[in-house]
Amino acid sequence: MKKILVIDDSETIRQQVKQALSATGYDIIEAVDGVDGLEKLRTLTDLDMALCDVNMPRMNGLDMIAEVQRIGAKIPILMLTTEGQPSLIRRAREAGAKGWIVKPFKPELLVAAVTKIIDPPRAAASN
Amino acid sequence: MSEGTVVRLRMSTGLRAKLVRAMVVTLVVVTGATVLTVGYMNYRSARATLDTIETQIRLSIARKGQGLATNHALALRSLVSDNAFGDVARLIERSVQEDDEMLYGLFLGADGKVWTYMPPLGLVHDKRAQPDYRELGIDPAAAARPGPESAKRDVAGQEAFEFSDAVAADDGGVVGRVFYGLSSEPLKRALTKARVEFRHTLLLTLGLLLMLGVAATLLGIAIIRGVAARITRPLAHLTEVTTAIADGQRDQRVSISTDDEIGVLGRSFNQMVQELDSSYKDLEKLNRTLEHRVEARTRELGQRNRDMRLVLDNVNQGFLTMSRNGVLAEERSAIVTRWLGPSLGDQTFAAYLGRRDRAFAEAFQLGWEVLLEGLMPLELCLDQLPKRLRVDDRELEFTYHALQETSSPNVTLHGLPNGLLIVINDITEQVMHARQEAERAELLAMVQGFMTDRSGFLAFFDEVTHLLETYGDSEGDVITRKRVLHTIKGNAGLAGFRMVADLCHRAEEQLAEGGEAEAAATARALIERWHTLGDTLSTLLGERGRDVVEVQVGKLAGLVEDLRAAGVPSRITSQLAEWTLESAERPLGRLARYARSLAQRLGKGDIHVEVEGGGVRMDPQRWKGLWSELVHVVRNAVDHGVETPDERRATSKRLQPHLRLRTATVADRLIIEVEDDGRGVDWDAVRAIAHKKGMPAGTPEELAAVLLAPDVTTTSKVTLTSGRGMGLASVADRVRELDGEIVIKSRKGHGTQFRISLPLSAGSPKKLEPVQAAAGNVA
Repeated sequence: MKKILVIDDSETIRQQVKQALSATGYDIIEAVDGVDGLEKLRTLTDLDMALCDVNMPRMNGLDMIAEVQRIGAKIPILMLTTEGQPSLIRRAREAGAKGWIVKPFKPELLVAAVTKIIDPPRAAASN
Repeated sequence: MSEGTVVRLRMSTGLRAKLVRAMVVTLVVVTGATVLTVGYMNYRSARATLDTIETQIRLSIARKGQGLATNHALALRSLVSDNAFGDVARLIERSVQEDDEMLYGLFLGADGKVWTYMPPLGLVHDKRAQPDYRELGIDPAAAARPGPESAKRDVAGQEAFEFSDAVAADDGGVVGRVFYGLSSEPLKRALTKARVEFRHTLLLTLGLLLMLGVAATLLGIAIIRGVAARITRPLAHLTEVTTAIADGQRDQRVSISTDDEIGVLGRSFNQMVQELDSSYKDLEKLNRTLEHRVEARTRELGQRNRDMRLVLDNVNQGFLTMSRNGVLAEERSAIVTRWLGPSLGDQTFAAYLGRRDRAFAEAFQLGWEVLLEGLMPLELCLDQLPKRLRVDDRELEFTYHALQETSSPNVTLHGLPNGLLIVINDITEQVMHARQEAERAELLAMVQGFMTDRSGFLAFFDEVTHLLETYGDSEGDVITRKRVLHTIKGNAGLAGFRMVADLCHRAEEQLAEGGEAEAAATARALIERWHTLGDTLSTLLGERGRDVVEVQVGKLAGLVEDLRAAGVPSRITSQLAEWTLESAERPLGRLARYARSLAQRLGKGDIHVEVEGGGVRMDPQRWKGLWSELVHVVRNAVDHGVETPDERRATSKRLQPHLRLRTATVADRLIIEVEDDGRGVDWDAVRAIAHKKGMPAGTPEELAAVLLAPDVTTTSKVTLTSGRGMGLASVADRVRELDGEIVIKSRKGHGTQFRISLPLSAGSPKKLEPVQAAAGNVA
């Protein structure tokens, strides 16, 4: 059973994510900001990936990702951003994020992204 | 042909020459050998013969000489024994003298005494001296020897054969020897003769042989040439035909009918050429077919290219293709070049757009990089590539489609696209419409808010204005600014200011994600929008501004009554009463605006409208009927009175048409004037109409009445606004109702004046009278 951590200060967004991923059968864990997210990342050892917002109180997404890198957690992280500015994206990737999704997101795209990261297809099979 | 001949000659010289040379050499060698052999053989036989002759002659000489010597020796026996010197001498002398061939003779006694010596002639000796036999070289001792002897002596320059024999005595002893020397002349002569003959014969033979040899050689050459020709001619022919075929005349064939290898060669050659020719023809046919197909295909492709080019040139969507490494293909819709500029050869999409918008290019480059990494799904990556671009006052929308090679699916790398199709749409119109919609909605919200709760709305508006000022002041303090934006967003949203709320939201997000520059730009847009709204608000508020009180007319009238009844001085009550009235300038102003816009619509250009209120204040309710009728007069003036710009230019009047709207109070009457400096009324036409209608048209009043009558129009065409002949009649009716009169003053070419005069009591502008309660505000 795959576990996904969703870190966003907006309840709406967290619900949207849950909704979008409901059909996939993945387990969704929620966190409300960077600090909370970090805590969960530290304690829960069986997380398969994390979705992380940028604009959050207490600790924003970028700082959180950097901290995650520092403590050496090997979990893939996808960012949720409204603007998707190149400078931001670059910093996020440097900090260790695997990619990003622009909010508001299309549910099917979110599902595709999450599925691809959690269950990457065999590289040998070409389309 | 000449080439063939040359070839032939060359060929025949070559081959023939070779043959001839060979033949000649052979013949020469043979002839030479023969000649040499024969010559040699001849020589040898000649020699042999000569030797034989010589031997014979020598033998004969020897025989003769020896015989003579021996005979004489015998003969001399008796003489010598008799010591017959004289006889001996005579014998020897006679022998020598009689025979020319005898060179000398000698008898030498054994004791050495010379009995006789006949010296050879020619030997030089002293006449006086006695010749000595020793000059011959004879050895004296020989005289004592027995037996014949012979010797060769060299005498007077010639060779002599000496034959001698001993003369024997009776007792057998040798008494002497007789010597005879014979000349070798005859021998020599014979030999010489024989030699000469032989030489002649030899030379003759050799000469003959040589001639024969030459003749044989020449004959041989001639024969050989013929034979060679016979061989080389077919070969030359073959060469000729081959050359012709090589030049392209593939129908040529050799005709060699000889029965030898050359004949076989000829036939094989023909066969080969035949096969070659037919293969060539097949190839040509094939080639033509291929050419046709290629041509057709090229035409087809050319047509398709043209069609595609036509599409690309005329389609109003931008199509671009990009390879995986980011480079744009040259083929693109023409409109892309118009929008984004010409391509500069092998250029990446990012570079091409970077010229117009750095941010867009950067975002694209990053997005594409991430796409090629393959970690995120393709659809998501494509969706997140930059979509909007503003360039040259156009809004362009970009959509992206992955391109896969349909022919070689194995080429795609882990499902990554080989390229990208970029579709660009010009959404300027849509964006503008959306924006206008939003603006209108906001405006509507503003008006609604203002109308529903004026003071409340104003309070809200001032609050937001103040907040925005706070925003401008708090430079650098992100938290504060975010809070301000958040507050504005909430308030604006509630009031229905969607655009403002969205801008706040955008700025908020941008600040949160660290886009300082973007947030600043959005904030500027926000402030600008707010200022625009503020301007609109000012317009709504009108010239009276903000600090106004709204009072119902009825209530005010009631208050005035009460005050009057309470005995409040009339100057106060009059003041209050006056507040119900409005300045005539208001309605005149409205008429003026109407006149100007109508003039524009009718193509009369920009007219100047003068408004003179004359300080007149009127009850708007009472008089509103009149103002609405005056519209007809104004309309009439603008439509019929005011000239078109061309007409106006043809006159000597000032270029801009003038219209004057005036009210005044004169004595107890209200005067309203509408005056223009246009065409003026065509009174003749009016007279004509009057005549037609059977109306009186004598006095100016009668004429005016005609003009104001219904169904009268001096215009030939009916426009949207006038020409039906109803307008002025309606005005006339209304004026009549109010007990007033209309005077029309007009001079053709100079202008028209409508003067309406009404008794003041009719509407009672300055006097306050109980007014019908009317709903609505006095605006």
